[in-house]
Amino acid sequence: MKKLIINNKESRYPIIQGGMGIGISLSKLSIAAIKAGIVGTISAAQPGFLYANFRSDALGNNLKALAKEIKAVRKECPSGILGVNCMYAGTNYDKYIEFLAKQDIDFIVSGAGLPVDLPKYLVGSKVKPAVIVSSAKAAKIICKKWMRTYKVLPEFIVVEGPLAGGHLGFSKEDMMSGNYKDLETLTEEVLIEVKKFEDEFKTSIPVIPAGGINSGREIAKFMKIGSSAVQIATRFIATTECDASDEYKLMIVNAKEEDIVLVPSPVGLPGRAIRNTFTKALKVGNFKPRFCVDCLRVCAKKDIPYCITEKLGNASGGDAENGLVFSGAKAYLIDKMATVKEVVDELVVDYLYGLRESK
Amino acid sequence: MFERVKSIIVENLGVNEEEVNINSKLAEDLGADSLDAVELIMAIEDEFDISIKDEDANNMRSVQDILDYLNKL
Repeated sequence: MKKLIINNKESRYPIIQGGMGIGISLSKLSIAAIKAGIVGTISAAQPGFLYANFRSDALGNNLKALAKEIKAVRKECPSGILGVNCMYAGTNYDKYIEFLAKQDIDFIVSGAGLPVDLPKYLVGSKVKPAVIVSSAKAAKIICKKWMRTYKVLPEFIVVEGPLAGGHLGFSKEDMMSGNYKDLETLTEEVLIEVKKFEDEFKTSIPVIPAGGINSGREIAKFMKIGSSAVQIATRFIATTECDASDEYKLMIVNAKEEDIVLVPSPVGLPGRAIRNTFTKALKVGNFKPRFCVDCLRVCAKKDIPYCITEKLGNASGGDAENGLVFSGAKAYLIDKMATVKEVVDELVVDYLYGLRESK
Repeated sequence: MFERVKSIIVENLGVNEEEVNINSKLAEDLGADSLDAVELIMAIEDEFDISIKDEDANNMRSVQDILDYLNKL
């Protein structure tokens, strides 16, 4: 089986458990992921949401929470591959990265914008920079920019396609009109661009598709075209170890295909979520934010449909009907709770069958 | 100088020469998204054999801004 190597460590299976905010992928999920033989990712999106004085000091509480979550993983899994997903569009991005550079993690992966200066904060750190893109053009620009300015290439590149959960890297118009490429095409295009940098600099950059991958057969399909691994996130929500509330997990388990919808968001891009009382009410009017922790640089803050931190945090905390339940497009295929190990084992067995069939 | 910058813009943003004038704003008038902007700055670095700091690059929102920066070198 093809091995995934990140920060000179080898993952048993070529799967990354994707980062999910707010409070969906923290230490419990990452520990279970690493123990099951895959790569764990903690989400840096407001991990301190449930802390006492979060609203008056979001940054301080989030950093405290990140340190605590990372420490919890390292206590159980001192040598597993662990990373943190930190959105580039977040306020205080520089402060989060400077802090994370000193933590016992293997990588920081940034999407939600083009993290042109991520390596700047990692000089002298053992933490490796990685990126999430939604086009070959973005992959090319990041490789070129990082190599030119920082003499470094991405540790890996996640290609996030149109079936992912949460914010999508495609406009509402394109999503509605079908004017977007599928993940397989995007991955092939990114592989072509990345190959040029691999050849020129005699290195390898794992390309890792994500978004809507839900079975081992799918993993086999993406490995066959040259991917080094896949990233899977939603599939791990309906697990006993996932850090989200049981209410959130049940929304995923009970979702039917027609329950998975695109919703507007304060940043303008469409987001994919599960239909509930909140998304239905969104069609009628806006929700006045109850507080603002200035979470995203790109949020207009005025005349927004709702506050994304408030609604995601509430859903993750337990009010899944009145909060925002982000989810990938294939969540309707999940119909039961399981342990992370059961999910990974099922994926791997199915992947191996998939590989055999294609021979 | 303007002609050199103009030809880089035409090549990188895929716009027509007539659309580019000194007052053109990169995003609003020439349709450059954030990816285009980074790509454009790198092309200017190549053409003029210079290195532009991210802070300076972020302030380049129009053709005039780019020319002002290059003229100060």
